[in-house]
Amino acid sequence: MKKALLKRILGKTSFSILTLATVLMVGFLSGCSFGWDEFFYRKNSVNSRSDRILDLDGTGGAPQTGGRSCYSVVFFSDIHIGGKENDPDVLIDWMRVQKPLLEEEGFPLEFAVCAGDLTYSGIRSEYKDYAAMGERMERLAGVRLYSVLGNHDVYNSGWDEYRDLVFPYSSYYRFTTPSGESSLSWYFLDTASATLGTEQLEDLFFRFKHDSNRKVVVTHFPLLLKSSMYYCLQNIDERDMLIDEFCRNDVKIILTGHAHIEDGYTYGDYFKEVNLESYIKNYAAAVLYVDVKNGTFRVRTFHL
Amino acid sequence: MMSKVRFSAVLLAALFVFSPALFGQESSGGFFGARENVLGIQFEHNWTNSVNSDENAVDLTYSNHGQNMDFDFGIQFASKRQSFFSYARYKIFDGYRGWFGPCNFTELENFSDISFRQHWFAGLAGRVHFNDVFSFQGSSLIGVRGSTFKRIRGLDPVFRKDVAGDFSFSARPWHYKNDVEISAGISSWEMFWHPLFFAPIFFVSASGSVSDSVRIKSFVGMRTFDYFGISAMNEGVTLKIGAEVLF
Repeated sequence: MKKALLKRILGKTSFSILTLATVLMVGFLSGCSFGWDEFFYRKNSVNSRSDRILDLDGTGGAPQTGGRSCYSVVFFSDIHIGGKENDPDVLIDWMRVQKPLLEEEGFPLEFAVCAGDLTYSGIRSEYKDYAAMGERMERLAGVRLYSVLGNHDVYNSGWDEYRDLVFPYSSYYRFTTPSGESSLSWYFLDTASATLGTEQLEDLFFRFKHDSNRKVVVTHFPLLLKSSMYYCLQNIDERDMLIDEFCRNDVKIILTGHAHIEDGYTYGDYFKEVNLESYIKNYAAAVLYVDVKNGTFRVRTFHL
Repeated sequence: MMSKVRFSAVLLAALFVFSPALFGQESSGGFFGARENVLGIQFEHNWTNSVNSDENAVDLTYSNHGQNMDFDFGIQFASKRQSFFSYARYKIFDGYRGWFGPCNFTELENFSDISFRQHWFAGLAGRVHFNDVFSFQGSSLIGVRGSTFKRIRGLDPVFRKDVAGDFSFSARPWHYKNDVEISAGISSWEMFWHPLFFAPIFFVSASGSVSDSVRIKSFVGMRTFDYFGISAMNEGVTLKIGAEVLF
């Protein structure tokens, strides 16, 4: 009623402009916890964060899949610890229920992946809570958590906290899940700044060149979505190069977040992109069924 | 409601009237009675944290400034791309305080051997002279850009809606002496359909005549942030220097 009255008094155009100004103001104020003092400069650029890949194979950091060709992985994204409506214990309890069921299906649960935005504003207390969640997940559900860095995680120079608290203490890493001649390589990329940066991009293409395995890639920013371009990697030069390299280097699936909606993209017969709904507010999580031998990847989404 | 917000965003974008610096064409004559035809060459270097890092480029441009229409086209040879672009402004209103009218921009870009890209944009452009020294110019464009992947069979072209535009303030403090012009502003090539997002380039440019028919130009741009200043996408610096022959 009040809105209609206001609209009549102001007129449609003025009302629209006022609405926009309000949205901008709310956006500005709500962004205050994101470190506005770093508006023009942020230390720890993507090039300094991720110049060289960390290889977890042989370090004890890679998951032990026992040479199985069929296994499953829990995949969730945008949990935003520190935000509202994201109780992580719901996820851990659900995983404890899923674990025996997946074992029965012939796809034992091996590890979990979070596709970025682990925290809400990148501050230490939020990172501590996230790390504690990872510890509980390993202790109670027997599942190790692998994460990628999201844009929220670098607010307030949160990279320092990530490097200190979040396993494997790197934002750009990989491991292999061996399965005879059908090994699978998992690449976790740093797209927190909406770009891979020159160093990571060059290093990634070098690693791809010397890795003949099928590949899974996990990033925070999507390459392409059907519904919106706004949430995707914005540098189209970089995006086109990545799509090209992924097609030519046997990438089979890319797991992404950031958009908070269920979406994705199919790149011809080459690979699929799966963008998962956020855990925050939606309590969404997925099981990725991996059949390395046949090269199939199936995603089943749950709302917990 | 969202459509109203989007409309308002577009309306605001329309206020970002033109700075041709967006396309490397910054104030290439015409406005203060300069010559009708301009041939230009421009060298460009980019330092960024993204794929275009340390990229060098050369732009060759031709501009014609007619009574009712300005038309620019050019070819860019860069270390990672080659492109042809054209930009036209149609003056439906041209008074002594400035001009205003529609404009359109097209670009065909060959990006290495990976993708071939097309950009089609149309919008509004204008310039207002506050007095003999200060002026404001800008443009807003709405259009489509697309990529066709050359090396990947079966992958459909990818198109997206896009909004581009920028504005600048110019000063010509020594207008009557040596035709020096200094301008500063913001340009953005990727504003999208979202009121909170744009990836601006802050720039300062200067040009000045060295003779009756030759002018030199310089441009310094700083790309800094996206997502409302929260996350840096394409930080870096762009430097351009060039010369124009007027005839």
